[in-house]
Order: sequence, then C-alpha cells, then structure tokens
Amino acid sequence: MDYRSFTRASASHETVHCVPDRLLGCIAGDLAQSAALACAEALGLRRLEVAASELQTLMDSTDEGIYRRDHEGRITFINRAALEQTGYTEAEVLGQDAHELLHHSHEDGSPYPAEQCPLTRTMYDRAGARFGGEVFWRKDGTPFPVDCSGFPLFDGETVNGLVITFRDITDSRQAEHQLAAQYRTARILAEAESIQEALPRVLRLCCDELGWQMSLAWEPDENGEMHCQSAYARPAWEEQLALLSHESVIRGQGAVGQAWQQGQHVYVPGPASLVRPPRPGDGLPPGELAVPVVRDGRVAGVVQLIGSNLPRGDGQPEAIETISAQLFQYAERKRSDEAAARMKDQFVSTVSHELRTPLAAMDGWLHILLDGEPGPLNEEQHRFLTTVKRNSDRLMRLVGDLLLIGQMDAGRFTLEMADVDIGDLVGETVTLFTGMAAEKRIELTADTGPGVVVHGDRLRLSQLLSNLVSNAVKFTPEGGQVRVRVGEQDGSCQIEVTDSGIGIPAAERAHLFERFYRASTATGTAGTGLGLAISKAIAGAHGGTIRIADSGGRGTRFVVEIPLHVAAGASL
Amino acid sequence: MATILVADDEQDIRELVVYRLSRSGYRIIEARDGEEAFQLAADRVPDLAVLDVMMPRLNGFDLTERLRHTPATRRLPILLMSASVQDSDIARGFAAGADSYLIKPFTPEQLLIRVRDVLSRS
Repeated sequence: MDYRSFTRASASHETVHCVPDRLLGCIAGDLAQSAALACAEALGLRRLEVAASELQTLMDSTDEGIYRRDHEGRITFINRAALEQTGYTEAEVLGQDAHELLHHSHEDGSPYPAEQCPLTRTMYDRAGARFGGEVFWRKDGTPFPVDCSGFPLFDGETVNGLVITFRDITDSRQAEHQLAAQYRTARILAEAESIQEALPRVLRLCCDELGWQMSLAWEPDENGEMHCQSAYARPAWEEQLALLSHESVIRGQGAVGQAWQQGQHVYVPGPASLVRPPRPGDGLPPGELAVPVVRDGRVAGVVQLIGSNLPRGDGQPEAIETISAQLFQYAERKRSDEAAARMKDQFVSTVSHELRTPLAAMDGWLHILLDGEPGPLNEEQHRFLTTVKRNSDRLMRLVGDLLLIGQMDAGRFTLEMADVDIGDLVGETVTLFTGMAAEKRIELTADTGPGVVVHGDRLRLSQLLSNLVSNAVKFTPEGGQVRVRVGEQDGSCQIEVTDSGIGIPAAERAHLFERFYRASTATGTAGTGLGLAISKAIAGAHGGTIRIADSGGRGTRFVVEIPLHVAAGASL
Repeated sequence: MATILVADDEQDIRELVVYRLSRSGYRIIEARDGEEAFQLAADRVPDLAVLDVMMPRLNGFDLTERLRHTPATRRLPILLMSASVQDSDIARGFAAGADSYLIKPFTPEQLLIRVRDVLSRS
C-alpha cells in the first residue's frame, strides 16, 4: 500500500496535524509520546503522521472494544467498536472515569466498587489478565456480558495506565442458555406425568436459564380474557407475582394483551405490567417480554417474562417459542396417548361383550347337553360334545387373557388382597392338572412343606401357578416329570416349577415373558403366547419376580418369588 | 313357585336362562329389551328380575334405576347379568340398585344357585 497516497486521500491537512497529537496523547501513552517525539526529530514528522494514522485505522478496524485509561482511571482513548457497543460518543467518554462510566455495577444491579475491579487490579499486579463473567453498562443503562482483559502500560518501572479490551458475548451466552433451557425442558417433559406438572418447572427454568425474575403462562378463556395458568418468580418477587397472576388480561392490553392481539412477540423496555410500581431498591431490572404461543394460526397462549438485564430480549422470543413448541408437542402426545388408552378401553369392552356373549351361550348349552338333561347321550355323542366343550373353554381362556392384558394396559386392574396359603394353592393347582398329566404318564408332584402364607390375590396367584404347571405338563414328553416345590427364603415365598421337558434355548429366555412370544421349541403345542406375560405381570403386581433358572441342560425350571409382606392395594 | 322376569336381547342366552329356570320349576316372563322388561315388571310384578346389562332401548343399569323409582317394583329383587368384568361396571350395577351381579359366561348351575340365593334373601 502507498501510505503517502492513503494519507493524502483520507486525511485533510488539519488532521495531519491533529491526529499525531491525539494519538501521541492517548494510545501510546507518555512513554510512547517521548519515543514519538524522539522519533519525530529523528525520522521527521511526516513519517510519524503516517504511522499514527495507520495505527488509528488498525484500532478502528477491529470489532474488539479497546480503551486506554490513565493511572487515575480516566479514559484517554477509545476505539470505534467500544463506542458502538456502549452507545457513547468519543466526546462523552474522554476524560471520564472508566470504571464509573462503563463498569459501575454488577449484573444484578448492585454497586461494583472500583477497588474490587479486577481490571484495575492488573495495574497493581503489573501483569495483564483476561476475565470472564463481567458486565459493562451502556449509556442507556442496560448491561451486557463481556469477556475482557486489562494490560498495564509502563513508563520505565512505573505503571502509568491500562489498556482494556472487551467483547460483547451476549449472543454466545444467550445461545448457551437457550440450548440449556431447551435441553432441560426436554428432560422435564420426559419425567413429567402431565402438562400441569411440567409447566411450573418449565417456567422456573425460563427464569434460571434465560435470566428473568418472573415468568407467567397465560391462556385465553371463551369470554375473551386471558388468565394465568401457572407462574414462577424468584423469591424477592413472589408478592408481586401473586398480585399479577390474579389479574385477567383483555386483548390489546399490556404486553400480554398486545402479543395476543398481534400474534407477535412484544418487548417493553420497562416493567409495564407490574401491578405495584417498582419501589426504589427493588433492584428489578427493566424489560418485559411477551411471546405468543401460536398454534394452527391462532394464539393459544402467551408466555410473559418480566425483569431481565438482557438488552431488548435478543434471541429470547425464539428460545421461548422453541420451549412452547416443546410443551405443545408434549401436550398433543399426551392427548393422543389418552385417546389411545380410551380406544383400548373401548376394545376391551367390545371383546368383553362381543366375544364372550356367544361363548357364554355355547358354553351354557353344552353344559345342559353334557348333563344329559334333555336326554341321555351315547358314548360317542358325549365324546364329541366334550371336544366341543374343550375348545370352547380354550377360546374362553384366550378371550380372558386378552381381556386381562387390556385391563393391565388401561391401568384398570386391581388385586383383591387377602392372606393366601401358597401350599394349599399349589396343592389345588396340581390336582387340577393331574388328569392332564396322567394322560401323558407324567409324574406330577408337589412338595409344599410347611404352610407359607402371602398377602395377595388368590385368584390371580392361582392363575399364575396354573400357567406354569400347564406349560410344564404341555412341554414335557410322555413319561417325564413335573415337580412343584414351595419354600421360604429371605422373606420371600419361593415357588419352583421344574420339568424334564424340551427346555428353552438360552438365547430365547429373555423374550419368553414378552407378549405373544413363543419359544422355537414350542411348535406343535397350542398356546397364545400370553400366559407368561400375564404371569410376570401378576408376580410383579405382588412385588415379586418370575425367572427361568438354570436346570442343568435338561428341561426348564421356573422360579417365582413373592415377598411375604407386601403393601396392600397394589395394582398391575 | 316364584315368577321370574328374564330380559336379554340375545335370544340364545335368554333361552338358556329360561330353559334352566323353567326346568327348575320357576314361572317365566320373557322380555327382549329394557323397555319391554320395564312394562312387564310394572304390570305383572314378578318375584325376581334377571336382567342383561347391554340391552337396546333401555340398558340394564337404567332399567334397574327406573324399577327402583317405580312404587310397584321398588322392592323387586334384581339380578344383573353382564359379560363385563370391569370393576366400574359391577360397581355401577350395585349403585343402580341391583341385588346381585352375575358375570357371563356362567354355568346353568351357577345361575340357579344365584337365583335361589337372591330369592331367599328377599
């Protein structure tokens, strides 16, 4: 670059003389000034003018705010970026106390004594340092977060000033907080049972992460008024919040009403909606933001945030919109879950009626025929009708299982608790399957030992045992053994059902308790794949477990454990 | 012998109930829906009503309530039959004023035992 032509083109005759004066006085400090004077003598004024102008351009071309303060703290130089970020003109800052002007208070508005300022301290430490977590203040009274650094200037051994550089980190810090807010919202929603439970927590995190004092969620009613559904305030603002949250808002009134009317976010640079005007010493920073929650083209609610240091609410409407979208998706998912649960309920009742009613008619008439009431049956007629009855029973059990599963899903299944002697129950169950076992010449034995009593639902526990014993008999080849053993161990009743049957491959055991799952070895045997899923649910409802234990490579061994003392009223 | 009103829109079930009860010596009045059952109950005042829950025109719950609010049938013993095993339905049946609730499917013997039980209590 041709410096001469640059100087000629850009600087007037006057500035050629004034620029070096200013720069000599301001940037380079006294040391530089003497050096410059020496240089001026040695190299000639013209050369220095060029160097100074170049330095000024350099200072003004960076986006980093830079200023110099003298040993008494007065600003002697400030660059373009620093003026733009703080909103002052050069004339307003030169000669002013830097700390009092730009760094006078903490983020919460409390005074920041100059002697505590880490930037000033670098002068005493005689070493430069960088600082995060500081805020600078604009001419309009708003703060902004900065990363800054202070570097002392030396005149020989004497520190005679400080160069301070700073960068407005509002955007990156807000982006961090917004991401954190969205992430935490997602976590709250994952844990919450309902939107009513989630909303106050989400409002609280809006305050924590996005830096507000109060947050309120408003919803319109059918009479054209908005009411506060949920709200949060930092402790100092609870009284104010209580007043505010009992108000109702009409369209167009206040920031909330305007956001509602316009369907766009509204930022008010003062606490406009406050019912009680802020008192001196409240320390409430200005700024109120109302963000409409727009759904299907209409405003379904407004999120109101009051009291933030953050300038203009930059980036915040977007963050709030994202969070409300998360809330809405959650609410819709809940609604569709509820609709699905209702459909399942409907299905359960349809299965109940439409399948059980014809089965009930078949079953009833079969009973009457088999009892021989309308007339005696010959042996063949009796055998055929018994086959019909057996299949009708099987169908009835399947419908019963489906019904039970449906009730479990709908959360409509409760246990009728009583003291149940498990030894007796096992004895009864084994008796029930003696005939079936005898047909296959299977040795079915029960070792019930001394009476073990659990608090449980007798009918359901009997169903669990029947499932296990009937499976064992079904999957054991002719001439095998099935053993049921009841014992007490570590405060639990332990029931073991062991068979010498076809066994279950280890890889399939994990799936065995899933609905409709049937082991690969179960081919050729009737079943729905619901029995073990139901058994597991019954054991679980009693606070117990069911598992397949190692049976040494032959057959299968199921182990059920039911705690002897379990809280009454458990449900599946 | 006692007179029993049997109301069920499902003919196969109604016939089954009628067969079992008439064979056991009871006199039977049959109804095919809730409205018909209400008229017959009010006119003839039987000793017992065996009513299905899921019936057209007037369901068993509402029929029971109406019978309880009608002077002639206020004390009529009522046995409800339903395929629903949901606790809420069973509770609703008793809340309406039923004396007993029989879940379908039931064996003819179970029906008979229940009928005798309700009659003996009244």
